[in-house]
Amino acid sequence: MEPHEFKLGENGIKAVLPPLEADIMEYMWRVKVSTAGDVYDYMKRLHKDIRRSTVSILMNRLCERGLLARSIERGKGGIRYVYSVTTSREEFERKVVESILDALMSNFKEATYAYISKIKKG
Amino acid sequence: MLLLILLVIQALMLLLSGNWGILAFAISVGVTLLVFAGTFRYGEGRYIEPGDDMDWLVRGMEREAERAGIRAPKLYLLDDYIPNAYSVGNVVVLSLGLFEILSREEILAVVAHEIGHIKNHDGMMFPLIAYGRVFMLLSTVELVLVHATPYFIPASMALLVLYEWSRARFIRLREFRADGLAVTLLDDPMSLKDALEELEYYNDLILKVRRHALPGIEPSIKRREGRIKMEKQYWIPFVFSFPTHPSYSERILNIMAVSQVRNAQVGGRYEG
Repeated sequence: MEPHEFKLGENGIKAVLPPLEADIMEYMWRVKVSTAGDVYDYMKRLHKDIRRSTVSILMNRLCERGLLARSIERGKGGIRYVYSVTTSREEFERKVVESILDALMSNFKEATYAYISKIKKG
Repeated sequence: MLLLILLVIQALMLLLSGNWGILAFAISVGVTLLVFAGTFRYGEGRYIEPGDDMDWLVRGMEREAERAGIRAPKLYLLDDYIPNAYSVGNVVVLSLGLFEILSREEILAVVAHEIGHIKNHDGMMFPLIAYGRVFMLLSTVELVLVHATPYFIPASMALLVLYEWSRARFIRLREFRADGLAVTLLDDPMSLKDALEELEYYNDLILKVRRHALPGIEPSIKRREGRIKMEKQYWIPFVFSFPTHPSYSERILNIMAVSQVRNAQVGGRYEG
């Protein structure tokens, strides 16, 4: 799970995920398992113009990214897809930091060492 | 009818091209039958019966079938997140992706469209036309290979183009007809329009997302570009083709026109 892009101007996981996908992941890490319908209800509170299609596409994109897993559930409301998180937020953040530091170490080794030492001393 | 005539002419040209032509005809028929047999295994295991929990769907479909004057079709759900619906014979298939983006009324509207296809016997006609297309393509190539008379080769190519054009026109008209019938089966005909608008939005958005997507966080997972293509129960050769489906906008306009006419006929019963 290696980020290809880190947006310096963004906060939290929005630095490595597009904003709507980051909002979905924030919710999913909280509830762990959910349906696209429930995520849509949550997202509707944050973005009043969002449509069901947008949520469905983004959740399936998050599945393709490996952050969510999709399975079929036969429940009271009938058969539907349920989505579950594949990794904890902490694990995701750790992997982001590791991959960014790995990239810095391989491209700017001395500067990275120097800066880490400076932080440690400070 | 025109499609059948074209197939018969093509077959006759092969049969009149000597022994090699007869052999080529047998090969074309054989391959077409193999394709036909092969498609019935396609997608096995991905179809789920709705069960008792989806009573609203089964009952709704039965009500629509009764209104259409046909036997209630068998309903299957397809394990596919891409919203899609189709009918084969007397079976309606809905992908699970549909349930993520459409309301119950809109899903029943999509079912009504499929019942429209079944009532018009499209569930049998469309696959037959597709298999006819396989035969036309093969026999055109074979007529070149068996060195048919100079008249047969250009004639066969012209027939192939004509078949493609007729096939596209036939399917487009059938789509409009299925929508027209669906409108008469629904309590709220506008639910079909709403469903098509959402599906159009979905298709536009998924294309945009794939074209302009930022690099993925998981590079090892390659997205399958072909997933957007609507799944069919029968095989379609990927050569030149005329558009077979009307655009969502065309269908929405058609539904609105049919609804207005119907409103006028039933004295505003369907106003909404």
